[in-house]
Amino acid sequence: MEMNSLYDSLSLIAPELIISVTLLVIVLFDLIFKNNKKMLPFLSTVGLAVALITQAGNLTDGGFAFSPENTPLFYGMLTIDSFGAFFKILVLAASMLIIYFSSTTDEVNESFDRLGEYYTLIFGMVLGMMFMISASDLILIYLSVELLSLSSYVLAGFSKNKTRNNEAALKYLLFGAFSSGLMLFGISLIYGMVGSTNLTALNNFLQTGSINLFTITISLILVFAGIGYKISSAPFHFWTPDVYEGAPISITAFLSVASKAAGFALLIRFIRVGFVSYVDSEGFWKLSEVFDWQLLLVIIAILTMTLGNFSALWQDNLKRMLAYSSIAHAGYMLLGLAVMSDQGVLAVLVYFFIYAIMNIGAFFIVMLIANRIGSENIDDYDGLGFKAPLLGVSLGIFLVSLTGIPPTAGFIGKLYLFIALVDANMIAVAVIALLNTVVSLYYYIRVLKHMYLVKPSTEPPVIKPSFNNLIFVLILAVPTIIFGIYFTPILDFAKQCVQFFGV
Amino acid sequence: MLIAIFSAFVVAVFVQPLFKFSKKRAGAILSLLPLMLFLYFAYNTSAVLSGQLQFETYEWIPSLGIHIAFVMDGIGLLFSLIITGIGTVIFLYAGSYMQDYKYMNRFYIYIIIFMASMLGVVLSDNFLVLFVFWELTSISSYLLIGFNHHKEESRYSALQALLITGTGGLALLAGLILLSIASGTFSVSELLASGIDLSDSELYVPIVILIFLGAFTKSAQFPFHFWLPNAMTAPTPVSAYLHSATMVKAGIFLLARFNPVLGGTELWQDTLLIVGTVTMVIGGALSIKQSDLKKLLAYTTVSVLGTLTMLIGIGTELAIKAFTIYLIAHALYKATLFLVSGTIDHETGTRNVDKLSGLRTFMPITAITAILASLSKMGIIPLVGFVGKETVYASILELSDFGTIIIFLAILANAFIVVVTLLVGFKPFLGKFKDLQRKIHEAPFAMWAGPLILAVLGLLFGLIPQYIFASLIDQTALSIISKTIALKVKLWHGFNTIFFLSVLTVAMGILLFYFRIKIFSILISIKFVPYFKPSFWYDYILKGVMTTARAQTLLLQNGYLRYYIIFILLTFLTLSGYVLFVHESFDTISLDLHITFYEIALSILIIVAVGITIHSKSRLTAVTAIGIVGFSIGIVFIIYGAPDLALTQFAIEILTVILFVLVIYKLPRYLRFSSLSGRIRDLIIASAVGVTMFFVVLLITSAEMSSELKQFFADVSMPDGKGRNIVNVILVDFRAFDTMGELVVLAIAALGVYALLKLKLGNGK
Repeated sequence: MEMNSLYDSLSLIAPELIISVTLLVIVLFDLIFKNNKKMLPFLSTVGLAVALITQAGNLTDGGFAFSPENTPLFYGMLTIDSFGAFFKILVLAASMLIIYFSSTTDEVNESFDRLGEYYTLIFGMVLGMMFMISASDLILIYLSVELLSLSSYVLAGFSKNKTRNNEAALKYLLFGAFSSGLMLFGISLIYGMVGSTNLTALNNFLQTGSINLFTITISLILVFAGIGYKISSAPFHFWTPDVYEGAPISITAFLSVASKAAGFALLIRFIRVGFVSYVDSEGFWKLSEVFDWQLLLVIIAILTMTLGNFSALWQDNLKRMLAYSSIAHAGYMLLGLAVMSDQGVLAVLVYFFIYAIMNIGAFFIVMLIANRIGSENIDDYDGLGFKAPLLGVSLGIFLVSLTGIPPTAGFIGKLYLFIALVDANMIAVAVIALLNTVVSLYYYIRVLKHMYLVKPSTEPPVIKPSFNNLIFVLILAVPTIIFGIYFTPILDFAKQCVQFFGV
Repeated sequence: MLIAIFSAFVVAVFVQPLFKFSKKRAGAILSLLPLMLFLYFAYNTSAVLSGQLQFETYEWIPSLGIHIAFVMDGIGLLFSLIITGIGTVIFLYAGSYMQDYKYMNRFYIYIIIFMASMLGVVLSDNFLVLFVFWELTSISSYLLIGFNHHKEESRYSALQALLITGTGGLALLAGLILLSIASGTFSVSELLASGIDLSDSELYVPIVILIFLGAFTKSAQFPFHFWLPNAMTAPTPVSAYLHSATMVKAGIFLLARFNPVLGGTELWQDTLLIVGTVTMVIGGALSIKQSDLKKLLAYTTVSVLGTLTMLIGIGTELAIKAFTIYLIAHALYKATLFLVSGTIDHETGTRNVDKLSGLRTFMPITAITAILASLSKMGIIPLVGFVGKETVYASILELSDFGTIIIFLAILANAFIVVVTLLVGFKPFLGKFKDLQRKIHEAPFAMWAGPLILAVLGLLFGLIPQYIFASLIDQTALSIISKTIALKVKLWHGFNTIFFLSVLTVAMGILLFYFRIKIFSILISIKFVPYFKPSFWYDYILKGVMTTARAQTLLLQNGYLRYYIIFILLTFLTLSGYVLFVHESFDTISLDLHITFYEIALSILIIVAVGITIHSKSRLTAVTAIGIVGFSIGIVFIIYGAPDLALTQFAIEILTVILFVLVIYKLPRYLRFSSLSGRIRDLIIASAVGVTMFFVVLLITSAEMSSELKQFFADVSMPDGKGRNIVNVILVDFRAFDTMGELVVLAIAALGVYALLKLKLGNGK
């Protein structure tokens, strides 16, 4: 590998470098100024903002980082393209929100002397996600998944003194180790067949090479186990509710949005680069016939959303309910991918953008209320809508949007998804998704019912969020409404990003 | 039109400050909003009636051809006038009626949003805009039904209405998307103008079914009718506005809207005819079991909605004429009667008809209003209800096939309506006054003025229908069946069959009224088997879903990690077992494996070590045994010529064992948690996974693996790496970075061990 190529590659991953540098700065800062923890969120935000601006600046940059000179350009470890840029921007923006989120969470701030670790590990997660999004080589895919996971395990158990925290972290670790073990086995089988760990090479192999159908199927199932665990799709989702409930709520929100986004980016790239032989004029993907991704994804998606929604139905803990609902949302988005077309992916991108906003918003308000009343139980929400009008209305907006009822942004996300499904003539699947939406209507509205319709047995406390927190809520709630009516910007952005695949 | 709808939303924002200013006058001030809108639509009437449709379009999602578009045609205008006209009366009325409610301001916010959404539904020229407003009406209706939220009953009904209409709404969305795919447009007016025939499309049946679901749930058609009477827990102005005059007619509106494109087939016409007729009869029959004023009225609303659906199902020119007149007549008298029952409730404190009589002396104006509206409802000449019912009968008589049966059913249903009307409109006012232990006054002005105007309008419309209806019916018919109708409207058609039938209806009704106590007791004694009641099914399904959800979650998401892992293993087993079964024949396995003595020895060692790990009672033994497994695998690497891998494996193995020993030093002895059955289950699963993996490995190794790398390194190690030992060259040259990384990892691991040791020492002190 020549130094020039290395140098060029480095400039392509500027945002990742900025994140790494910030990580180091935070470690050093924490070591030197032991008592100045207030600066940590600020430093983190600055680092993320610089990375975000850099990333937005090279939105349309394309290329392959770290490709050795003597091989074709395809053999790059990383693919830099605007599809990845979309998800990176999403992850970076979500991380900025989460940094603020964390700085107001009691659960996190209680461990004052370990705050340095907290923000360092967040950056570890971000770095893992960024590489996951761009990785076009199985080895790098595995490494970035592990980087993300290892940081998440520790963060999930960040509040050491709470048993439910410890339990969450331990379960997460064991489950994750198991899944990534399966994935690694799958990767080694693929390598054995293809003789390369590169996705493009895999694609070439599938089109020309002699294929052992059995081996390829087994290895893909195993690799999917690893990715499925990251996006918590059934039946690899079991860790999700336990971990989401046990982890500090800011980490739960982070896992449910950013970590999932990275997992989806990975899955989409994996299929798109590794298996699509060509794209027809209407944007439908023609896949190598060795493996029926569509069938697998449709089944998994239906299972995922149905299990998620049905389990959410009777949850009384709001955090746990939102965990199940986020499983269900992963199911909807998997359906978008299952369409196997550019339009389907566009729907996923639009959906994700909106999902990120509303989900973080919902978690944030649950956190604010938990900070005040010390409970996430739905019965303790009785009558809260009147005691905290702005929070109540905003939570209402987020929940209605999560259901997908107009005029909120969530409706637009679902709409694009359904249109993509119906366009691909997957009407039965669309109907199942619709029925699922009906089920979800019940448990989302149930929260509203408790907040506004149920008379509280004891007078609920008045919740007056601070000015900053109010602004934060508005930053999320206002777009949820506005994008429900005027969403051309998201759409254009997503469209621009879906057209540039690094293939 | 956008401005008209939008202005309402703006006003909703200013409700709060207005209430701070004056709660007493707020109702009256806010009623100016629907009034202005009414005048705006009235101003547009002449243009629309002369055939000039009004269009407005704003770009929304240009890429999909979806625009925020509005159109005002005959039926849209008719509904808009009803919505704003009745709205004015309701807003004024509520200003006085709701004075005692704590959250009156919220009530106005909700109801204004509702009104704007309802206008949006009837004016939108785009499927999606229509759907968006449609859902908004469901949500605002939910808030309004649950307004008396301290009552459990209210909350139950609100949720029920939302679940049923919300589900229908989603079905409608699916139907509309399919419709746009079949027709190629999202625009209502383009679709109507295109004259496209969809009945051959393969999507036709799903489209019709989905749109029916949307319309039937919203308009409380059988078997979804039960939510409407339950929704009567809402404050009376809401019942009068949403649940009789406007929202429940949205479904009817939808059917009328798409009738030109989807209608004309047997599926469409017959379904509407049958569902409409059944709803009409059931609504009527169920009504007389009630004693609550509002529930009585609610069931007759169901009956009338059925009649309207049936009329679209008949679909002749006469039927559409009847549809229009009946729609207007119903809006006028039903809203009035609801408001009257609200007034009675407000003044006397009860809505139970059995307790009410002789109120005429205390509430003369209300009494006159009630009686006027009741006459119209009963279809007595010369009120508009009479004209309506006559035309309905006439259009049924035109039917060739089932005309006789349906006319009989219609007369029966209308006779029931007469009974209800006598109960609601006459009984409370006539007869001897029953003391209710409170002073009873006439209602305040704001509460009697509106209803009175509506009732008088009913009289006026009946006396001179030709001047008021004629052109409106023409334009409405144009919207519904794409042609104008040449029929005249007049009050008096002479003594013909239809008039005779009208008289018969009223006579039957009065007869039923006098025997109602007896009939009532018979009806009570007929206990409906619950399976015949759709509301039973609603509760049953809801409960069933919750129970399944609970059981499913308890089964799958039980919190035990081992079960989660079992599910993953089972999934893997199922999938790979399936693949093995479908794809693979075992012929390809070659049993010629060249097994050496070392390999056999190592395998036995590994198996024994694993056995010890599982069975050992001490952690230390188990860890040591695991270590043996690791070292054996390392030796296998050496045998196959990968010393670098083997070295790494050894290093990691040593490290792991040391760490293990350090950590488990502190742990208590093993405890036995698992039961025998659990162990057997685990044994079976583990063996199954093991056997599957065995076959997987056998099959995979029997296939040709790519081995370019070996050759590559053999070729280049001497010229590029200047070394004969390939492994050495790889380690220090080709993969120098990797080696460095491994070293770093080892160093960090060593640091970790050191830190742990130090920690332990610290504890020791």
